[in-house]
Amino acid sequence: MSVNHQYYYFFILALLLVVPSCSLPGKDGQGSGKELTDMFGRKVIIPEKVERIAGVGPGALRLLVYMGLSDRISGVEDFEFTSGAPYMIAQSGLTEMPSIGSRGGDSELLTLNNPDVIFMSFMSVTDADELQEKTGIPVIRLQSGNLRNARDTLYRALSLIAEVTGKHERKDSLKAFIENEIKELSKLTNENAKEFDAYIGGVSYRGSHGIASTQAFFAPFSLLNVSNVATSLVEQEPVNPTGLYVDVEQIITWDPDFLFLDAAGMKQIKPDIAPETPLRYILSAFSNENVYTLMPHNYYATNFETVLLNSWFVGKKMFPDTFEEVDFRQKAGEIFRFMLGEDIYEEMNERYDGWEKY
Amino acid sequence: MTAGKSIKFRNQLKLFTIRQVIFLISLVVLLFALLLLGISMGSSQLTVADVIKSLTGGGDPISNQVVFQIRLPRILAAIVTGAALSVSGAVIQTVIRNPLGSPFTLGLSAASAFGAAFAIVVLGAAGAGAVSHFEMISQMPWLVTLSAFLFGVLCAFLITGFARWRGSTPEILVMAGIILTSLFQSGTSLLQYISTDVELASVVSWMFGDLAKATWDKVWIQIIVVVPAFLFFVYNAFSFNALSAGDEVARSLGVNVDRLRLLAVVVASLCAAVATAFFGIIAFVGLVVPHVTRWLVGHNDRIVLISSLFLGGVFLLLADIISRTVVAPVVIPVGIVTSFVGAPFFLFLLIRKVRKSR
Repeated sequence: MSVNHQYYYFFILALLLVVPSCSLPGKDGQGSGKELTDMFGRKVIIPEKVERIAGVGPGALRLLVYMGLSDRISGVEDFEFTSGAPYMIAQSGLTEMPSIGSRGGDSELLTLNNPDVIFMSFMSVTDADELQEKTGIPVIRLQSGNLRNARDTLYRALSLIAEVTGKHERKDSLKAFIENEIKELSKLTNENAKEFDAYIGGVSYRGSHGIASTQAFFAPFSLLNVSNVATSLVEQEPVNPTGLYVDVEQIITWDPDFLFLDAAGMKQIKPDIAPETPLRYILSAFSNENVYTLMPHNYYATNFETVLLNSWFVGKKMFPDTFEEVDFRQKAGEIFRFMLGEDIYEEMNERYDGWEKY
Repeated sequence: MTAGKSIKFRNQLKLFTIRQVIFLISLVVLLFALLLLGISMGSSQLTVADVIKSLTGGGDPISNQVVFQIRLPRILAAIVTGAALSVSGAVIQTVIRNPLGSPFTLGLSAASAFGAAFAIVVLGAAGAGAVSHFEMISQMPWLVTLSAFLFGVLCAFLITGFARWRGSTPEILVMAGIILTSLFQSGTSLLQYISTDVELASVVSWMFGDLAKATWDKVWIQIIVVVPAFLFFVYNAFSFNALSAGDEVARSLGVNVDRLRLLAVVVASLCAAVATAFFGIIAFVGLVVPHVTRWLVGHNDRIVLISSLFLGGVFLLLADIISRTVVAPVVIPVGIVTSFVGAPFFLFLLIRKVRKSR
């Protein structure tokens, strides 16, 4: 063996030693009960009767609230106590729950909290396997999809939750409700949709940003078939909300008919569109008074009820004729009550400057 | 004055071995004390009695789960990781004759971070997307770990390749390390820029360096890698001693300088790459511990290596205990604590050294 090559052999040997052990499978469920397959093909054994549940990771708790399972939740991630998320406002009892650790959950606190099942979203297979191994509690991985191009994923998640908790009726009614809302929206908008284009500015995405942060595929625009000026920038529609930072000059070039602003980013947006700024001067949306604010809907994954409401609001402002019959306040009450169990319109308005004319 | 100094020096030489033995014994005792302390601490507030009951086989299922599946792997991981990083640091400082040397000087942390970010953002390991170009592998267990490890290894190969091409002098190794660090960092920044908020959160949390990810599998794999590597280092300790006196001296003593340097870099990188791939970037351990060791036991490489092994374990275990208790029940990732504690401590050492040399 050549001296110079000796260390490569050692290295390859060490690699061979490490790599196979890396693929050791994680433990699959524990105890007796029924077996089910989660959304990532992991086989998990869950108890016959599931009475206490917990959700970790972005969006898991929200789906449980949608499914009307707040009374079975055994603990929440500690930032939720002050997150101000719509589902936490609606189900204020959840803030009294014990902490199960920071984002993603703490294995010791979860073990002690001892729910029958843990629902986990937006984390890796390894995270799920490890949490299951450490806590000895079955971990079921969910994906929450979106309302644009992955509604099936959302419904599969709801079905899986129903399978675990027995809430099949609620799953069916929730699915029917969402589908109906979307159908109504597209019915009211279809003919006029491409007449105007729109831009969404200051989308809260990794926190709040200025007007230049936008989304090429903004759910409310997609649901209404409205042309989003930023769509041309992205070739393929992504599943997750992907942020995009455009050049401010580009917004001027586009000169969208309608300008919508994410209320969560208002502090950062205001200097961009203050009086005397080029945007304020040039954009016709300002001179035509077509500038409105929307409620933030992306925080720790997507608040679907807020997406629907933002869609209704955009529809009402862009197509006042066809949406004439729609009473937005009433619609908000209806959607909040059905999806979150409580009408939180007033609370949301107190917290954010959304759904207003700018 | 000179005579007095030389007598003092001789006395020091005589005492050295006794001092070293006492030092090593006290380190082992300290390690055990910390192990017991660590195992009785955690967010779930088990009492010491609960823990003792579990350890002696009489605990309830929940305490057993916490002690054996959560705390014990974590503590052992802290010890092995601390040891691996410190020993690698000690070796790299010697072979590149640079007091600022550590496994991370050679670009390893940046490369591993890029590997993790690549798996999360490009391969979709965060479980974020319903549609991914890499759907087949995105759900593979250990994907992030494996990718981080492979990029760490790639970095070591690039460094050694560069050194073989241009000569393995300390300067070239350091320069190559700086180049690779900045290359991989820019790659990581790019991936962060194009990632979704959930992916970004995963990348950032990976980079923090967190022992909460410890499982038994990881502990065993680390032991399998670290023990042979350590034996290799100790076996070559004499050559390292010669190397620190300069390449010419080492050559005259029959050491194959280039080969030893490259081999040492590769093996040290391997140890650090495994630790980093499992737990993320745990900064400062590989830098500070070898310095403290040399300050306490002198410059004989064999004793420096053995002491670094234990002191590294003690240091990281202590940092982990601090990370779990300082704002309990919230756990701070240990990588933050090591930097926080390490930096001022290092400064203190430096000031002392400067004062002494005056």
